[in-house]
Formats: sequence, structure tokens, C-alpha cells
Amino acid sequence: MTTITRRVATAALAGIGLGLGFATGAYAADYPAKRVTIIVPYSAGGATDVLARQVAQGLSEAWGQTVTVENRPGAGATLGTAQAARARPDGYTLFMGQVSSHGIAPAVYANLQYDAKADFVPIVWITQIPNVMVVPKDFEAASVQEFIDVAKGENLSFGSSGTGSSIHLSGEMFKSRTGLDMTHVPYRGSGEAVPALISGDIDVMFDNLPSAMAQIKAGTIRPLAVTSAEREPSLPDVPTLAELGIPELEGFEAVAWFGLLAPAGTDPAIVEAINAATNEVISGEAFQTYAAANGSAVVGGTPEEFATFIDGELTKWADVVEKAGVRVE
Amino acid sequence: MTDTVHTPPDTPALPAAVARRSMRDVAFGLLTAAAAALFAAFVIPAFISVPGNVKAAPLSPAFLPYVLTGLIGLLGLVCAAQAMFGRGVPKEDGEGFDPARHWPLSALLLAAVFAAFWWLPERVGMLPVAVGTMAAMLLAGGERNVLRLVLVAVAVPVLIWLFFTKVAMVPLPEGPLEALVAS
Amino acid sequence: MMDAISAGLGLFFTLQNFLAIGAGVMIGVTIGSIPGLTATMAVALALPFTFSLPPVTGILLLVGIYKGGIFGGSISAILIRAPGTPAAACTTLDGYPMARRGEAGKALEMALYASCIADVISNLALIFLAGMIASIALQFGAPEYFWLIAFSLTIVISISGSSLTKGLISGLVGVLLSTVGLDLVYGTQRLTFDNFNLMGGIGYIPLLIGLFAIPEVIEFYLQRTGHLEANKSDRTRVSWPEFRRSLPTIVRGSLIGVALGSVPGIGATAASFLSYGEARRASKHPETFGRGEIQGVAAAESGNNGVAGATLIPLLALGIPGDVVTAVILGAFMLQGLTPGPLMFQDNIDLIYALFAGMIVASVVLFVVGRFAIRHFARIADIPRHILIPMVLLFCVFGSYAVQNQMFDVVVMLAFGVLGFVMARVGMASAPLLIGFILGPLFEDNLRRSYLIANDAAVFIRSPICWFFIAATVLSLYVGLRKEMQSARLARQLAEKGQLAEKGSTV
Repeated sequence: MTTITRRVATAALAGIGLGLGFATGAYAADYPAKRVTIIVPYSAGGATDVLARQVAQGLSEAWGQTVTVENRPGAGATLGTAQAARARPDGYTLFMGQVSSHGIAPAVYANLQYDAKADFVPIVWITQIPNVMVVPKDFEAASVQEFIDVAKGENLSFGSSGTGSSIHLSGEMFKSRTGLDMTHVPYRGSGEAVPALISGDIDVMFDNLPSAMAQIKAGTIRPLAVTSAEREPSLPDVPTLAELGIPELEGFEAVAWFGLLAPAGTDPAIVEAINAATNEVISGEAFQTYAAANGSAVVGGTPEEFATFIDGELTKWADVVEKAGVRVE
Repeated sequence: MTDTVHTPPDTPALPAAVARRSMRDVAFGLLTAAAAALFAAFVIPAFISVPGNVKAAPLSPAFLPYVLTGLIGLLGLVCAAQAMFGRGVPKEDGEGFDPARHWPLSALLLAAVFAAFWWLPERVGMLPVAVGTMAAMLLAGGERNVLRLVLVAVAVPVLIWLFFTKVAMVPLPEGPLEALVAS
Repeated sequence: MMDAISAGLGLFFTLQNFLAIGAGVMIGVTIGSIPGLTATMAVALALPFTFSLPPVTGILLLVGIYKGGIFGGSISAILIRAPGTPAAACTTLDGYPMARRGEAGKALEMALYASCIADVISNLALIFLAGMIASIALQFGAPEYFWLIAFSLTIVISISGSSLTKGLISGLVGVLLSTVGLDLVYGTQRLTFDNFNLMGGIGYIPLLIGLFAIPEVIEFYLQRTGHLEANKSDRTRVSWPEFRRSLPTIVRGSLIGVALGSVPGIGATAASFLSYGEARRASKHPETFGRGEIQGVAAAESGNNGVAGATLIPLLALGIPGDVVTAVILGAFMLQGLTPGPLMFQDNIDLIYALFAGMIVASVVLFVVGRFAIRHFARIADIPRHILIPMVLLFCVFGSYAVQNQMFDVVVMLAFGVLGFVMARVGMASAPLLIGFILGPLFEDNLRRSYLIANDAAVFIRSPICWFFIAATVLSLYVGLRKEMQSARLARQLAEKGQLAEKGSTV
């Protein structure tokens, strides 16, 4: 009943809006009054897409309004991000941000079509995934220290899912901190890189945990360390890089993360409403099960916490990119 | 062999090719070679930046483009030479083209339709553009029954549009109609 | 072993599973038959629905969509020359000419037979040879891939149409077009002309739809004969001699599909073209290919469906996804708490057997659904062309937009449509351009990766697999070029004779 009257009202408002040249105003009180869209800057089926669909489904149920996922892939996530930045800030277009769009890309690409800070308001941090340092099973090092000893004076290669990915830059971060000479070998996606690691064509990789998990379990590749601040519950015996006591790796942290953002200018009350609803969804059982199966840790929290985190990420990756000299003009 | 039985009677098993000099192909070959040369001389240096730290030649982003344009240029010359000396087998498909009487008009219409799909959908919405172009093309295609023209020009785009937006959930540009359909 | 099999069958024989396969294949055929909406997209969109289903049911739903989608692509390829999925591009070469001369029903039927047979062969390879094939696939590093791609590129020779020189130019232009975008190694821009939309490269579905379907649209309006032609109502069926003649082609195509499908990353499009090229090379009448040769349809469709089952080999045996579709299916496994790979064969063998059973059933379901679909879709050929042609354009526009939800892709599609039309006018085949475009990045990536890994050209001859493909490449070049030159000479001689005869009669 209420939805019908709302629809009529929206349609009427839209009619007026057409004449006056502005669109329907969004008021936090009756948000959401129509379909909400989450822009995902990657193709359907990828990690970001699957996560977004999971969140969208939860929000749809919570709000009784359709929440759809819109895939706008291209140019390493920057294309979709730029489009989200230009979307109308009415709360009906949201953006699934991640370490690429709001961490690495602003540092790597000089001619970006968006400003990660000025064009967006953070809503909520959703999940994070550690990267894991993996080597082929016959590699002659059983620990990170041994790896560094073996690698000294040699030119080892490290694989990645592509130039500018979190996997690539974790490797660059490791390289610049330890001062090792390692060649970056980019693949198109982890799916291509992992077989090369298994067969020993590349010597090491800082893969996202979910894409390496199958092979770690099968024993074809060996984890030496995880890159998160704390140990990964599904790999309790694998140390973090930071805890090893190697001075160069002190405080080493590189994770892949995901969170919702809105175009800058969105009503703070609406941001609060979406934050509350999303926190509800991701603490629910369905989402927790999904995250556990996927190897990701659920975070949640306030918009302010997410904003602080993004600031830290932007600073950190800018530093890594500068030291590694991988900035693209 | 009985294998030839399945060849349709109206297409001969072998093209009725004529070995002769084809000035059109000479021109094509030379133009291709010239385009390749220009591309290698101006476009590649201007639009492919090569980082300073490239270790081996094949690692350079410009390596393959240079090789390709070189080969294209070479093949362009080969093509011109073949056509010059009547060595190539002139093909049949390109020359079987028989332009319609008012083809410049039709070409203009198609250009307009393409331009409409290029510029208009983000301004007035995909559906109105589809209806308009559909009607124009039906008219150009020889549809004279007004009722059928209107019916087809409206029904077909609307059905396709409904399928894409409602079933496949594709967010087509809706223009000013957006507020009406987004719910 | 027997216990596991019966447990697996027990797991499989539920009504739910049959429904999932049936629904999957039907969704796949429908989505696959619409240009721009690919099997990959359909599988990705269906993924969330599998969360709530039991593992076997969920995976079989996705597998059904995948297989149905690959076949569905051939429907629009044959009827309107717009490949519904990229893998069906090759099917247009002979399928569309067949439809134009009133044999749409026959072409569709042959596509279905070839698809189903290839599907069965591919499933058998998966069931019986998975372990062996997977261990070979793992030996493919960058240099091995490089030579495999080099070999695959030699098929350009057999799909160049009437002018080999122009066909080669077309193929090279395709490779050149594939270099547009961000550079793989350095991340720098290549040939993007500072256009932001080109940073991600040229979309290959818009390119493909434009190149194949749009020239027909342009031709219809510009050509005199276009207006007069009406398609004949179509009751044609594949005859037994035609089927028997095509069977070796289908088997060969299936095996090529299995071989390419089991090496991650190559894909169904390349397999169908390779199968087509081999069929043409083996044929006593290569000149009939490209003009509505039923074996061409058989070759193309067996090649791409042979891939469908085989891509599951690296997925199930190693846990490595070979393409985007299998990556999504891997996602479905992971979300069910299952990890494909050697461990799954130890821990969840009953589940594996249930999947095998389901895949065999899926082949049969594909046949039944396909027959039904053909009967209805074939009517499209009866739509008057002046109505059908604008509809084709609308589908092309909507479809290319749907790939990435970008208007820019529509522009790309139309631009390649014009290019395709011009190419046809100068007698340049467009299929080599597509092959160059698809294989180009693989060729270049692996060339550069080989250098990065080894920093030494000796890496290119490091293994027996390298040598094998070097030999295959050289042989294919030699045989292919010789054959093309022979047939060119033959055509010339015939033409000269014809000219003499003409002169004789006028004197």
C-alpha cells in the first residue's frame, strides 16, 4: 500500500521535476523511495561483484526496495569509479570501493578522472582480505628469513594479477623494504598467475588469500606469511610479516579491502541510514557465512572510521608507489 | 566425388575469377603501406610511451606495434605488386556489390541513424531513440503500410527494451524518463 | 570406488538436479542467443541463486547455463550474422550464408548435433582423462603458451578467404588493435589517444558484433538486390549423408576443443576457428567454405562446445579456472565451502561423480532443449528482411551497451561495423582480424613474460612442448601457404581458360 502511494508520488514529483529541470529530491526520512544502484567497477563474477551482490541482497530485504548491482568495468577499476564520482549524490547511486579505487590507483595513475577523497563520502567498511606470501612447494626456503637469505644476490621473480593490483604492490612493498632485487611478472588475474607459481616459473607471489587457498590446501604452494596485522584464522600456523622480528618488515600491512561509498554531496542523514542498514546486513548470519567461506574478515563500523582508514591507505600506497617507482604518467 | 552435390546450384564450385590487373587493389596496397609508414613514424612515438628502464627490446610497449606496422606495410606493397602483375586472384565478394539507385540517400540515412545512437541515448534515453530510428529504417526499407509501420516501430523497441531492462537488468540510459521507470 | 559411484549417483538423482539442469540449459540458450548477453554474464548473474542450493544442484545449474549459452550463440550467428557469444563468431562464416539461401533449419540442426556430440566427447575426456590432461596443462609456462599461440595464429592462413595477402593484413591489424589500452607490464597508455574510455582496451564483444552483423545492415540499405530478396520459409533438415560426411569434422573439432579447453586461458573462440581452419584444410573442396558449407558449421560448433567440458578439467583437477566462466564456477564451489583440486577427488569424490552424471545428462538436455529452440527460432528467418534488419541493429546496440553498461561500446560497435563493411568492399576477410584481436594479447603477454622470467631468449626452446609447437607452427605455415598458393594458381588457370573461351566466342 505505502509503496504504491510512494510510486505515485514519485511519478508526480518526477513530472514536476521534468518541467523544472531538477530531479526528485531525496529525503532521509523516506529513504529509499526507489531502486538503489551499487556501482561495481569490475565485471560480473569477480570478487568485488560477488560481495556487492551479497550486500545488495541483504539491503533489498532490509529496505523492501530493489537494490541492483551495476557493473562498470574497465581500466583497472578507474573507469567505473570515475562514473560513480559523477553520479547524482541523492543516495540512490552507491559505489563498492576497494583497495584499488581508493588506495592504489590514485597513487599509481597521474591522470585519474576522479579524486578519491573529494569526490566521495565513505559510508561503511565492509570486509578485508589478507594477502599471503606464497612460494612453490619445492622452493628452498621454509620461512621468510630463509627466503630473504636465498633471494639476496639473486634475481627472483614475483608474480601478480596485473600491474597496479594490491598483489603487485604488496610485492613492491616487500621488495623496497628488504632491498631485494626481484622482477615483477604480471599476469591477467590470479587465475593465470597461480599455475605459473605452482610450476615454478615465478618464485613468489603475494596473492589474495581466497585465490591462493585452494592450492595452499592442496599443498602445491606453501604460505610463508600473511600480510595482515593479525594472523588469519583459517591459517593459524602462518605468521604475519610484521611479527617475524625482521626489522625491515616491522609494521608491514597490506590487505585487500572493500567498502561502500557515495558520491560527495550525499545527505549525511542518508549516509547514516545506509551505514546502519549495512552494518545490520553484514552482521547477519547469511553474510557471516558467506564471508567465512570466502576467507574475508567482516569489519563494519562508522563512516568516520572508514574515512580515517581510507586516508591511511591513500598515504601508505602513495609512499609505496613512490619508493617502487611504478607511478604511471 | 559426390561431395560437390551440396554446393548450391547458383554458386559455382570455383569463383569465376578473372586474372587481370586490378588498379583498385594497387591503390589499396599502396594506401595500406603509406598508412603503416605514417603510423610508425608519427602515431606510435606520440601515443606509446616507452619507460626508460626497459631491459630487452621485446619488453618495450612499442615493440609489437612496430613489428606489426612493419609487416602490414610490407604486405601492402606485396598486395600492390600482386595486383599490378595480375598475380592475385581478384575476389568475387567485393565486386559483387551493386549499389541501389538512391544509395547516397540511404547512406545518409544510415549515417543519421548511427549518429543518433552515438549522441542521443544519454540525452533523450535509449527507448525513444530506438523507436525513432526503427521507424526511419522501416520507411527506408520500403514499409508503406502506415499502421504496420507504427505498430512495429513501437512494439519491437519496447519489447527489446523491456527484456534488457527488466529481465537482464541492464541499466540503459533513460534520459528524462529515468524518474518514471526507476522504481 | 563402486561405493563412491553409487553414492555419487544417489546424490545426483533428485528431481531438483534435473530441474536445475533443464532451467540452466534453457536460460543459457536464450541468453546465449542474444548478442551482447554472453554465457559468462548469465553464469555470473545466476551465481547468487546458487548460494541457497545444495552444492551439486547449484553447480549443475551453472554448468547447464554455460553449455546452453555456448550453443545458443550459434542461433543468432546463423540467423542474423550476429554471434550471440564470441565463441559463435566462426559459425557465422558458413551458417549465415546457409540461412540466406533458405537453409537456416539445416544449419541450426547441424550446429546442435555438432554441439551435443562435442559436448559428450568433452565430458568423456573430463571423466576419464582429467588427471592426465591436467598434468600436461600444468607444464604450460609462458614460452609454451607463446608457441601454442603462434601455432594458433597460423589458422589465419586458412580463414583469409579469397586473398591471402589481405587476410594476413587483416590479422595483423587485429593484433595491433588488441594493443590499445593500458600496457600489461608498465601500466602506461598505448594508443589510447588520451581517451579515457580506451584505457581498458577495445571491447571484444562490441568489436565482434560490429564487424560481423553491422555490414549486413549497411549492405541491406545500400545494395540494390537487398530489397527484393525475401527469405524462403524453411523446412530443411540435415540429411543422413550430410551428417555422415560431417562426422569426422565434428570429432576432429571436438578433440581440438578438448585440447585447447584443457589449457587455461585460450578459450572457445580460438578453438572454433582452429577447428574450422583444420576442417577446411582437410576438405577436398576448401573453396566451398565461407559460402554455406555445412561442414563449416559442424567444425565451428564442435570446436567451441568441445571447450565447454574441457575447461572444467583444470578447474576440477587442479582448482585452476581456465576462463571467466570457470572462475565464476570456482567461486560457486568456494562459497559452498568446497575447494576444487586434487583434495576434492579425495574428500568429496561422490560429489565429483554426481557432477559427472549431471554433465552427461546436461548433454542430453541440451539436445532436447536445442531441438525445441530451433523449431521456434528458425521462424526468425521468415520475418521480412526490411523489418528484421532494423531489429538486428537494435539488438546490436542494446547488446553492446549491456556488456559494460557503456555508451562508448555502442560507438565502438558502430565504428567496427563501418570498418567491416569497407573491408568487405575491398575483399578483405574480417575473421582474421577477430582472431588477431583475440590471440594478440596472449601472444604478446607470453612473449614478454618469457623474457621477464628468464631474461634470455633460450627460454623459448626450454622444453619438449616448445619444440612440439615450433614444429607444428612451421609445418602449418608450410602446408597452409603451399595449399593456398596451389588453389590460387588453379583459380587463375581456370580464369584464363574462361577468358580464352570468352574471346573465342566473341571473335
